This record gives sequence, structure tokens and C-alpha cells, in this order.
Amino acid sequence: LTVRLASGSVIELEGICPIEDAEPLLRHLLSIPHATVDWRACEQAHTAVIQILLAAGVPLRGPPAGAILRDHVAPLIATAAKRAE
Amino acid sequence: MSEFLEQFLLEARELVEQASDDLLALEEKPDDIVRLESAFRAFHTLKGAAGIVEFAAMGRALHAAEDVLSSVRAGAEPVTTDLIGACLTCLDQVVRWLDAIEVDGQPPADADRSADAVVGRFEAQGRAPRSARGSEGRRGPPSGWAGELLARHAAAGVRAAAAVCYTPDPGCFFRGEDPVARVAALPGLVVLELQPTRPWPALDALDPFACELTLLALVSGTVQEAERLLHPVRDQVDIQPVAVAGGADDAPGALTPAARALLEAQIELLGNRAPDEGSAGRLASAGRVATNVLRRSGRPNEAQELERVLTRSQAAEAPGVLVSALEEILNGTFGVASEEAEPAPLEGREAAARALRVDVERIDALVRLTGELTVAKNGIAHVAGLALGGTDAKTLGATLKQHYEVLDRLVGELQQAVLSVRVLPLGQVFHRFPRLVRDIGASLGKPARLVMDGEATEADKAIVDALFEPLLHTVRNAIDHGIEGPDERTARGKPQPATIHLRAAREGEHVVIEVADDGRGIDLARIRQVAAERQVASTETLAAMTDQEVSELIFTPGFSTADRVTRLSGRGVGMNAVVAAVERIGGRVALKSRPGEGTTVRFTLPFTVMLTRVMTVEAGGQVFGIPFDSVVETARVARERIMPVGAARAFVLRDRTLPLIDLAHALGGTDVRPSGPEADIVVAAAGGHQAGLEVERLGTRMDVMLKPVDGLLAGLPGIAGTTLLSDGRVLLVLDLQEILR
Repeated sequence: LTVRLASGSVIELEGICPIEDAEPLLRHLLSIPHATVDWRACEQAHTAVIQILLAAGVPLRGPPAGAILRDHVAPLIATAAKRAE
Repeated sequence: MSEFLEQFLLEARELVEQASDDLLALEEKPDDIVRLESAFRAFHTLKGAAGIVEFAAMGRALHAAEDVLSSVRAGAEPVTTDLIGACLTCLDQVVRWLDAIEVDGQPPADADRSADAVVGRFEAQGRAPRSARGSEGRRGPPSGWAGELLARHAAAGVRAAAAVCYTPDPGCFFRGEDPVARVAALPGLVVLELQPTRPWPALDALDPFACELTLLALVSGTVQEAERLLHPVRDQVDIQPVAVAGGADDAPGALTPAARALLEAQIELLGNRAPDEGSAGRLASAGRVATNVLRRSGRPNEAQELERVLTRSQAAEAPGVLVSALEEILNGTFGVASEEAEPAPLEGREAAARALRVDVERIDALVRLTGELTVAKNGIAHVAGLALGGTDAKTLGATLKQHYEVLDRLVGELQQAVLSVRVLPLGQVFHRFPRLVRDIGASLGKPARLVMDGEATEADKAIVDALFEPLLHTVRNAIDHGIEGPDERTARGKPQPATIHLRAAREGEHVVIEVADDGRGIDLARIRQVAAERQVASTETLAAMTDQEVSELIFTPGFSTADRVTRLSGRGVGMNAVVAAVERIGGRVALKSRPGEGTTVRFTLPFTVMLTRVMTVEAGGQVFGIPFDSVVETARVARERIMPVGAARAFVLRDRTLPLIDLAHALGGTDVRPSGPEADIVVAAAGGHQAGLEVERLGTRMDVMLKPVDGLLAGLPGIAGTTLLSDGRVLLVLDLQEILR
């Protein structure tokens, strides 16, 4: 799996995250109130996964591996996370 | 205009009213589910109506509002003043469109732009472009999205050649669609924005498989390339070319330094000065200059918008409204933003001749009466037949009398029925006020709420229609002069916001309307001072006046500045204009003020203008009618108690000296001095004056249908109207206001 619960309250995204990752990611986020998402190894993520990160406004540990994620998506999620605080 | 469109206008206006009422009530009680539902329904029905007449722009604007209300219903969003304000602005726009349709028979050409502004306002509050997608059938973002996107990314925008707005349909994930990947694949991605199509729900309510994003992107590749790559989803995408210079094609011309300096000078002109007599003039002139500057700078749209702001600013007598608009122009935020800064009061709308909505029962009554009248008519034919057949006079007379009685009853009922068709509830005028009070209060920095009472009280349509302006002035005066500023209220321990009471009640033949505020009351010392300054009354007269009399000085012409009185548009007029307007429809105005507790202005109006109660008098050998409203009393005064005062005469009635006017003489007849030892006098009051009218004989009271004078009589001074007496003579009814002047 490309999404998994690491130690403590860290959720890791890895490689190319397909739409199938969306539901487990959401489940993890719901079960861990103050989770952090580590996506340093993430190269690509499906829109559904990005959408969950945006909606949750979750803090991210980055930068992600993929260029699009790093240059375009990460700032948007960071803004959403700030708003969520 | 087609009947269909007329029906649309009629219903749309009612729905707008309904929605405004609900929104205002909701603002006061945010958890009022019933009101929320009702507002939502009104918006929804309005949107449907817009769809039926194929007015897509209106549908789009309303859809945006409906979206917001629906997320409030879902509990996803709280009711805020902002939100209510945005919805009210949307309704304002709808009313402007309706007005335009009423005039031209079709929506204005710039309807789409206005709709964009409304939708933009909802978006500006963090609500997403799902609302922008438009009403059913029309997908696609507002036309200004590309410009806005560029504005947000001015630096990166230089490299962009095309702007893309992609709103994937929510179910697209199931088709294996990955919108972000699709956009990321566009050549030369410069900027990417992901916006939720509606506020994000709580995480546990989020559907991970529904796409609720709008993707906005700037790419350096060509439009053609983007179109080719996005072809599979072309119905969900809007692609626009972007000028390399960076800036949307409708970007206004930049302001030259000279233009900026001129605008700044206007701000300075209006800046922090206490309102005085020159305020209105300064405001108008600054507005004119600024509008011209904008026109010269090639910004006609902004100039037009500024004119609207100016009107609003003048209506509220608040230069600050214009100042903040000018500041926005200078720092480039003017436009849609100014609309949201302050929703335009609807007061500019003149009450156009509208259709009358009549209860079906009242029409049925008329139909029934017509039937009975036809029967009565046939009865007369029968009597005529009897007469021709030689029936003896006595029997004939008795039959005729019988028929007369039937006719008399029927005509009486018919008159009542016709009058009742014209009767409307005062709520029709009142319902515009909650909104106005909110807006006027906000523009003056004095939050106020309106409490209404007796909206169901009915009055003749002519009265109801004529009431709006005087009431508006009175309400504005109450907020402007009556209510204290928030700080002062707090210091005095008064509740916040201030309350304006609008009450109506039927009192016999009259309708009484009161506008009461809970402000500081009338400042008598200040009134005395102003009255002395403006020479409304001499110092001695002022000193002798009772407090009540002094407070009523605000009704005197000349108490407000002359410049204000002559302005017809119904703005900034003094209270004497209110009195004039109310007296024109046969009413009176009274004032009650308690220092520190508030002021009440009371209008006493006739129930109907069609039936006027008059008292007949004889003067110069002719019968005249005097409006009963003006008659204070009748008196019989011994001749030796009438004293000559210069060329005129006066008499003392209960320790009060009143001028005595010989009515026959005043009307241009010869003096026929009646010889009796006592004079018959009608004490009358009108236009703030009281005087005795000497007449030859006092007549009776009667209700007459007053007809306005026309034809040859039209130029006659002192005549209010005519009516027919039972014997066929014409009765002239006097306009006492002119005679007593």
C-alpha cells in the first residue's frame, strides 16, 4: 500500500498514490485527530487524495518527491492547513 | 409587454419582498428555521421564475444565493451579517433587473456582468464557484475568472498564454478521471489553483469519491494545445487566451497622476467635517468631479458605478460612503467590492403605477352587485310600463319609492365595494422599511432595528402609495437626529441596537401611523437656537413658546436649509416637506418628544381619499364645503368682541387671539356684513395656522366624493375640489391651507 499509518500520529504517502488510497487516508485522518502526513516519498497523488488533504487542512511533512506536488499542490495544502488552524 | 411578463414581474417583486423579510428576520434570529426555509423557497421560486422567462443571468445570480442558503440549511455555514448582506445585494440586483424589464420589456444588456458581480460577491466570502457554474444547463465560470486569476498571480501571469478553468463533474472519479493529473499534463503549467466548489464539509461528512474541486490554471502553452488536451472534458472546461502583457482584456485604463490628484482632492474636500449647510453641495460636486475623472480615464463602468454610490451617499446623507468608494478607486479595489461594502437601499425606486392585487371575494361582491343592479333596472322598466298604461299616480309613486329604496341600497353597497377594492394593507409600504432601517442605520454608524405593528391596517391605495416618502424622511430623521451614537447609548445604558417602531392603527375614520424612536428626544435648546439663527421666529416669540410649540418648529418651512427643501428627488428634505406631503393626502402630523426617551411622529390620515367629510357653510350667498379635518370648532361670537387690528380683525376665543377672516371677502366676493348681533365663526386649522372664518350660515356635515378641479376652475386659488350636491348643484370645497396663508 502507498498509504500507511507509521508510528505515532504520522500517516505516510509513498510513490504514486492512486484513488484507492483516498478512503484509507480519510479513515486514518478521522481516527487520529492531530495527524501529520509525511509525503516526502510521494511522487504523484490522485485528485481524490489531494482533495482529502485540502479538506482536512492537515499539516504535511515535505517536500514531496513529485514536481507538480511540490511546486503547485503543496502551497495550496499549506494554505488550507493554515486556515484550518 | 406580454401578460406573461407582467405576471412574472408581479410575482418576482412579491418573492423579493418575501425573501428580504425572511433574510432580515433571519439576521435577527439566526436559528429561525422557518424563516430560513421560507427565504430558501423564495430564492428557489425566483430562480425558477427567471428560468421560465429565460433570463439566465438572473437565474445564475439567484442560484449562487440559493447555494449559500442551502449550505446554511445543511448546517455547514453559519448565518452572518455578511451572508445576509450578500443575499440582500443579490435581491437588490434582481429588483434593478425587474425595473429594467418593466421599462424596456427585456433584461438590460449588461445583465451578465451584474450577475457576475453578484456571484463574485458570494465567492469573495470563501464560497466557491460551484455557485458560479450557473443555473441548470449553463456550466462555466463567471466571465471575470481569468482576470481575477491573473490578478492573483501577477508575477507568474506574465509567462502565461492561456487560462484554464476546469470544474470536473462530481462523479468523474468513477470514470477513472484524475483532473489534477490532466491539468498537470498541460504543457507549461505556470499556476495551479484548486478551489472547493462549496465550503468543505466536516471531514467525516466528506465523500472521498466525489470530486468537489474547481481547477484553475495558467499555462504558457497555447490555447489550441490546451483545447486539444482537454478535449475529452471540453464541456467542463473554459479556456481563455491571456494577453502576454498580463491583464484581462477588459482591464480599465490606469489613472494618470493628475487624475489621482483630482480624486484625492475630492476625498479631502469631503473629509472629516461636521455636517453643515454646505454638506449636500460638497457631496454632489465631489461626486460629479470624480465621475468625470473616471470617464476621462476611460473607465465608463466605474463612473457609472460611482454615480450609484453617490446617489446612495446622498440618500443616506453620509459623505463617508463616497469617500470610501473613492479610496477604493485609488487603490484599485473598486468595482464589485463597492457593491458589497454597502448594499444599496432600494429607496430610489419610485412607486410606479402598478397593478392592483384584489381579493377575489371583493371582485365577487362587485359581480353580485352588478347582477342585482340589473334586476333593479328591469324593475324600473316595469314601472315605466305601468306609467304608460295609465296606472294612477299614487300607486305609481309608491312603486317608484320602493324601487328607489332598492337602488339606494345597491348604490351604497356598490360604492363600498368599489372603495374596498382600492383598500390595501399598510404592510405594502411598511415591508420596505426593515431593510431601509438596517441600511440607513449602517450607513450612519447607528445600528437600528425596526419593530412593526399593525401592518394589516388598511387604507386607500392612494394613501398607501403616497405614504412611502414622508415615512422614509421621518424614519431617516429619527435615525439621523433622534438616535444617539452607539457610544452615547452605551453610556446612557440604553439597549443596542436602537429601535424604531412603526405602528399603524385604525381610529374611526382615520388611519394613524406612528414612527417612534428610542433616541435622545428633541433637543429643545438646539431647536430654539437654530430657529433664531434662521429667523424662523423672533427671539420674543421663541421665548414665549411652550416646549411643545418649539418642538413643532421643525415642521416650519425654512427650518431646514432652503437648499434642502427644494430638492424634489425626495432626499434630504426637511420635516416640513413631510408635513406638506401628508397634508396633500388630507392628513395631519403631530410630534411628541420626551428628552432622553425618544420622539414619536404621528401621522393622522383619512381612511380613504375618495370620501371626504365636509361641513357646508354659506358665504357671499353661496354654499361652500370646508374639509372637516380642518375644522377645529364652530363658535358664535358677539360682534362687540371682534376687534379691528390694523386692516384686519381678530377675536378672542378662550384667552386666545385668533385672526378673523371674512370668508366671502377672502373668496373675492363683496363684503356682505351680516347684521345679526353675533357672528357665526368656523375655527379652522391648516398648514400650521389657526384662524376664524366668518360665514353667514353654518350648514351640515356630509361625506362627499371629492373630484379634483379641472377645466376652467383649475386655476382658481383656494379651491380643493368639487362635488355634486343632492339637488344637482355643484359644491366647491375650499382649500383652507391657501386661504389661511
